[in-house]
Amino acid sequence: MEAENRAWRSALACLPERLRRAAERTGGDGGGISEIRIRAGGLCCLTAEGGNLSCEVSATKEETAETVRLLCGGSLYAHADEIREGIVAAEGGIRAGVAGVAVTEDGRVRSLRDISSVCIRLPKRRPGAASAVLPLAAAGKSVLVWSAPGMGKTTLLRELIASLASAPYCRRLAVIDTRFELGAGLGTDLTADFYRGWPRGAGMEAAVRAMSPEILVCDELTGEGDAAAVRAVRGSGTAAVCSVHGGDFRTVLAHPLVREGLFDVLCGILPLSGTGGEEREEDGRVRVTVSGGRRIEVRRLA
Amino acid sequence: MREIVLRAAGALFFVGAAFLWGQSEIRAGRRRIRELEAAGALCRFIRQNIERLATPLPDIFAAYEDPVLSASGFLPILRREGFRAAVEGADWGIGEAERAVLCSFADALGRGFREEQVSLCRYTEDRIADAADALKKSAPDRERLWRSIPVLGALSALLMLM
Repeated sequence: MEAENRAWRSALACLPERLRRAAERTGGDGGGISEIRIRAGGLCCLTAEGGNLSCEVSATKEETAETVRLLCGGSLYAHADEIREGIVAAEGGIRAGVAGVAVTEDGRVRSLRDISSVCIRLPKRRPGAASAVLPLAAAGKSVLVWSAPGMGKTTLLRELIASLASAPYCRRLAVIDTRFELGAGLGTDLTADFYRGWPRGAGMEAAVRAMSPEILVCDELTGEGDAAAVRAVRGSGTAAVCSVHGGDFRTVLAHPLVREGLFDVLCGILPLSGTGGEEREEDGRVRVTVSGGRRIEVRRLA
Repeated sequence: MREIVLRAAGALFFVGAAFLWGQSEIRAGRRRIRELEAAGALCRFIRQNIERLATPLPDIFAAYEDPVLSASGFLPILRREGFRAAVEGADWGIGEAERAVLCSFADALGRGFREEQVSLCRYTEDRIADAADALKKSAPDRERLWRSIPVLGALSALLMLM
């Protein structure tokens, strides 16, 4: 609760005065708030428990720009790469999605101008969220966490890092924290090396070469470049714990890296349907648990 | 006799005051040049950090050390409240024109991407360097003028005594 309140305070500090007052009025002490959404000329909202709460104010273009400036700690240039990727990592483990007009060159986004929407996401800690997959990861199995967007892959990975990199496991971890979110809110007394802001492929390559980790953690694999890097990581004998977007088990099973047998365990995070609450084994290979309103399906492939 | 002594004392006081005034103006002129050079060096440091490492401004400000800017109170305010507050709040002797250059630099600092920020720093460095150069060029003449004041004062006193 204290950490949640701290994150809320840090997020409020990134808002211009008028918006801050409106958000404070609506969100109180920030309990249950997961997002603050600012839109130039549109209604500002808070997201709480999946629902939207209107702050009953519209942000001006200048206020939206000022929000981005504050999120960047007054140094926009230091976050240029993040802005190009559409996400800004701010102080206190906060990350903010930004949307605006893309400035492109040869079909690639060079920069973003006229930022019109900002979604400030408050970091969440859910101790125990990774308990279903923790023993397997600690045993050196390679794990691929999959789910639809917003289901909690990053939260699960963060809790997995917190557990694996502390007693009793104390595994040597290399964390490719491209968007500064895997390490958000974690302490410093971990046996993990963070590659913050690195592109995933380059980060994985550098981590394996330089830090000889036992386990490499990387969020949101996309594209052939990331896949090649994971192949190299697995080829070096390092276990990989990664995540991908995936709507259902069949889609994930068709993922090239899964087909190539680079992962030993698939961990799906699914919406809770029907009753549940207790752990159960569907067969010898699949274990289903319910945690934090999600259905966690751990499937051993090898 | 008493009148002569009083006149001599008054003349001495007059010459002394003129001398001190001249010295203080010379010192102020030199200080202004030093402060301008220090402000230019700070702009250069900011540019290099932005250009090479994209270091965030608070880290740049925290890492910078300069005795001239520290003595004027500029650096402590800079670290606490930012560049504009430091330009406006520091106890320094730079002129209004240079202050305006630094204020517009402060207003744009941190609000753009790397290339723009580097250009902004270069532009400000040039303006500050030009101002410092102009002051340095005119300094010998100005200092000569301030040094001549006590001499002129002494001559005036002599005339008064006569």
